[in-house]
Amino acid sequence: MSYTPHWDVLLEDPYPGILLNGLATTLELALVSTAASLVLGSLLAVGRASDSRLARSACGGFCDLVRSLPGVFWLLAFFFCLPMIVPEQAGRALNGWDGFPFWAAAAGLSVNNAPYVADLLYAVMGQAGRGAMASARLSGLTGFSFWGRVALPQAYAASMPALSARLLHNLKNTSLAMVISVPELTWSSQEVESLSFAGLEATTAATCLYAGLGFAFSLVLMLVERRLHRAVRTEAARV
Amino acid sequence: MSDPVSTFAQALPYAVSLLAGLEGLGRGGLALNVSLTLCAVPAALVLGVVLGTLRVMKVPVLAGLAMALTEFAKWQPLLLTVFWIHYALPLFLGVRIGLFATAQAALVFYGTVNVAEVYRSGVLSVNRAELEAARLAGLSRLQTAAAVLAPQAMRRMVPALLAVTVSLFKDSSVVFVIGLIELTQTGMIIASRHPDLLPAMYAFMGLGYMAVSLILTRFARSLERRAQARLAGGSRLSSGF
Repeated sequence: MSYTPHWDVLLEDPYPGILLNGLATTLELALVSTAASLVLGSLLAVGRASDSRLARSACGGFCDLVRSLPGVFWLLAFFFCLPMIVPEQAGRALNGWDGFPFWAAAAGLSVNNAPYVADLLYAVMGQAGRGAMASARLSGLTGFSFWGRVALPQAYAASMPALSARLLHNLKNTSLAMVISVPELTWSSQEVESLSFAGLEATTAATCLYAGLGFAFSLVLMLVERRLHRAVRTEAARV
Repeated sequence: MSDPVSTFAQALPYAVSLLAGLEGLGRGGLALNVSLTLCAVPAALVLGVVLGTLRVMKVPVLAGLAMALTEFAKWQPLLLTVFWIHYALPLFLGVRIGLFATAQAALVFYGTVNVAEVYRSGVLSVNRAELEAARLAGLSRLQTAAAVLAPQAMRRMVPALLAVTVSLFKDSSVVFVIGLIELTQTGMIIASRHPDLLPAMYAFMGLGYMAVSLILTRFARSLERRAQARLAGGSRLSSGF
């Protein structure tokens, strides 16, 4: 049996707008959760590499906990569960807030992605950077200037190909936000489907848009990688 | 909010539904996640090895096709793959496969691509010189593959393959978008009937996912340790020559 897709449906009035709006929301969600998960992941990695036993086991335990649960769980937990466990008034305020689905999704995605970021950073801190880190310590760098100027930039640079792959995975994970009705790209494609019955066409269009977004994202990450390596080299020359 | 202890006590009877599915809705709950994973993993293993072999052996045309599939899976979210199969199969093939089979197809597709990547890097990690040495020592291509390549590559692949299994299990939670009532959806349905049990339901859901993930991870670690021990024993043996 053969089926001829009718692509022109996608160009009829409300549909391009819906899909592009979805693309923009996906991009926003990806940027917010990437930034937040990098911050949280760096903190977790620093905690796991720290001298304090309490910090090590707390950060390690948190990573293990998050990694054993699916991403969807975190999104739903922030969206449905959080308003129930905070004081009643705060819960009502959250439920009444228009931006709540978006920010609940952003929080869920960030928490879900952070342990993987932490793993990658921690792994390279352990192997490649040992010598450089020890000499930076010996030359008197401590606290923020040690982590912020030497250890973390090195760890970002060293873990970069794998870190890029993880961040791309996070970009794809933004599609989970549709389950709490954030109008991102996957949600938009299903919205177009429900209005036009052109499910295959809408889903294929979303696939192409994701591919474009992913391609652009990995180009940016490649540029960042190059900059990072250069920055680490100059910093090393200065220290 | 009422006191947590009594809420959990009230929620406890629903644990059975979370594990095995709601009454009258057939297979569901955690059992559905586990059975989706258990069915998807063997298929993904076989197809993944085939796909990986096509790429490693650089079979003309087919290797390119395998690479295209890999790239496709790299760009497309699993959720969208589920929807795509949901729409495309009935339209193009004229078959109406059930929801379970649709979810299964999406998971197998994802698993296959991941297994192929693991397999490929496992095979490529084996020292070329050892393979050449085996060939020079008079072993045939097939013998080299069976005696030198496979044991080393497989040992290196085991932890990564178990990681793929864990992530397939976690990914099986997204299939509720096409209407399958797995663990997450079961919990949400119960919570919508009894709103005050919602936090307890989420705690149970979390425990269910964690239990299975932890069992798989533990298993992976023990296999890894055993493989390392065997590898160490092997090198001691070979240094005796």
